[in-house]
Amino acid sequence: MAQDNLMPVPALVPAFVLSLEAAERIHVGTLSTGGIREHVACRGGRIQGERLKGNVLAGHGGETWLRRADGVTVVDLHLIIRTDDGHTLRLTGTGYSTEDLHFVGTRLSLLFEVDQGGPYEWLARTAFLAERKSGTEVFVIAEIA
Amino acid sequence: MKLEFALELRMRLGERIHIPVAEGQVRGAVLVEGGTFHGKGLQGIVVRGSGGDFPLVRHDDGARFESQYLLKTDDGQYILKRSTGVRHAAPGVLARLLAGEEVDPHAYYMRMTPRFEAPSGKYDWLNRTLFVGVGRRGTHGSIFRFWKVV
Repeated sequence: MAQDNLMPVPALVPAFVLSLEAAERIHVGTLSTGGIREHVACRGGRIQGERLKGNVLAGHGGETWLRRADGVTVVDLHLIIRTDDGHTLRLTGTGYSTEDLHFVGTRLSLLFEVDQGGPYEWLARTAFLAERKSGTEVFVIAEIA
Repeated sequence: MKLEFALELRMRLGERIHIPVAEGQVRGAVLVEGGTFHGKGLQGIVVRGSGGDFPLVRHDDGARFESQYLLKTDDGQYILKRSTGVRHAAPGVLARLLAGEEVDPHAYYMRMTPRFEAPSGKYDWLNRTLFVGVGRRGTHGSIFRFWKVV
């Protein structure tokens, strides 16, 4: 079914590596609206790939975790990146942290916000996935081609 | 990360509603008339009237789109499906898509990352799995194929 020519078959193409330096984990609490919320601010980092090199700005983003009643942890990420050639990008991600039989770590879908008409516009026209294995501070990012 | 084929949806879509939210920007609303889905251990119908596709189209460029509707499995369970995606096409291709013409889906980029809310039990793996989707816009409906990230 998925192998015909009716529509494209997506592929994951290695794009960037994102390393983050995490601040202390803030326990917000067991929420009246459900779930346990934790927040980890970003103290800096680096995104590096053939088509994008830049620093993650400290103090302007981070990760927020919501451990739901069903045991699944929802992770939302937002970061500001300053590229080595001076452009500012915003990166957002959403996904899950799981302790599955097959995978222990965090997987997110990612989208970029970039300046109109700039050299990084292709980032906003493309969807990405990120994976961070448990115990590491590095996301491996793939373009959804 | 690898992709493993999970399911295909065939949607029948109703009237295309355009909301001109700003100069050169239109929020589309295309409501679900019905449809079917098939995958490994997962099949059923798309619930008529339960939602739709809501693309934000910029005339000079591509689109971000949102979708939300309900699936009903053949054993009677409801699953909420929500999705955010990116569509990008060259200006000539986009004009043909907006005019409702049939366009070769290899001629544009349409990818999405659907998320599901399924009841606990046999379908709850959907609640903690990331998916990648590809869309094919047709004149009376759309076909989506979803791969799970493994």
